[in-house]
Amino acid sequence: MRKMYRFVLSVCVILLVFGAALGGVGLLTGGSFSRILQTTDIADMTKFFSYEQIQGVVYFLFP
Amino acid sequence: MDAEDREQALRYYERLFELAGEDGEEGLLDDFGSPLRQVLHLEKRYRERQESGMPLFDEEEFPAGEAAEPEQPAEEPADALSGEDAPSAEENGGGEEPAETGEIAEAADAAEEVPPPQESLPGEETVPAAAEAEGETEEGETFAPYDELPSQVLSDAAGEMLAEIDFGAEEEPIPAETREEELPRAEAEAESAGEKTSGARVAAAVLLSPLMVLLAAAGVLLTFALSAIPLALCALFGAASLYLALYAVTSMPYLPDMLLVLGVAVGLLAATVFFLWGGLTLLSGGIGKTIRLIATLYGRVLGKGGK
Repeated sequence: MRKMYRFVLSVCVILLVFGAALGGVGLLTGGSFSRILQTTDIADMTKFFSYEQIQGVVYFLFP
Repeated sequence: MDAEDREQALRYYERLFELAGEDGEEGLLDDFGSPLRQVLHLEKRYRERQESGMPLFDEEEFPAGEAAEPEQPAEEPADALSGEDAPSAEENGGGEEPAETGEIAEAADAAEEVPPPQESLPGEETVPAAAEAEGETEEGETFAPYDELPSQVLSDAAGEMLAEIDFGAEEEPIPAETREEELPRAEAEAESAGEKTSGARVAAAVLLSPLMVLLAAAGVLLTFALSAIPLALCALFGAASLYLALYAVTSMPYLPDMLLVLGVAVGLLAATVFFLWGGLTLLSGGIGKTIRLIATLYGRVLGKGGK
């Protein structure tokens, strides 16, 4: 079981490092989170949920 | 063994060492074996030669054919063996060099492991030899009779060898009779114990079954509740990672932005793996503990060691 712990933690650490590397490369080459949010609908969850559902979740998490 | 034979034996061995030289000395000693072995060999040879009336070493047996005369000390009168040894003396040839006499005498004194017999063999006068031996031995030891010598030497050697052997403490094996007697008794006791537990305990187990079912259900529900949180987070992060990765690849033409979103997606994937593993561990561990708890309770009720 200890070997399984080690394996899973190793995979997680590797993925985190890889993701951080990708994000760092993107930032260094001129990427911007604000431009992404303003120019794209990546954060528009109304594609999957209705406006009321999203509003309900937001009010539940942030009363 | 009188002085004459003793010196002859010593000269025999000295001649062997001279022929072997320094290089062959070790090999010669290996052939000799232990001193006790040589003593017993000489003793046996001496007895045989005494019975047959022959000298201890013939001229032919002497190494390299070199004759070695027995020394004739001035104080030695005509021995009873002289009649037998005189031919050997003549056969052995000329007199020994005086230079070797001192060495032989010293070797005889130093290497005297076979004490001369006090009592004489039948038909043999050993009084001069005994007197000579006493005169030669400076220590004044008393020696065992000739007949007792082999057994004494052997017993001393055996005693030395036994002292070196380490007899480890051995456990006494259980005798077969004891095992055969105890086994049926143990089986009978087990059977009687089983009979006592069969009736009332089974009834108790049956009566407690509904409670056990409820207990198992509670355990499983608690397990699912605890493991639902990490599993839900796993599902959430997994869905988000998938969505971001697909969006970045399909709908983002600007490469830096795409790499940024992909990095976030991969990070979310790592969180997904972590929460998935945690949730599954909780789930399997909880169910396993619930099953073991039920089995233990049933074991105690039925009186089977509670394992």
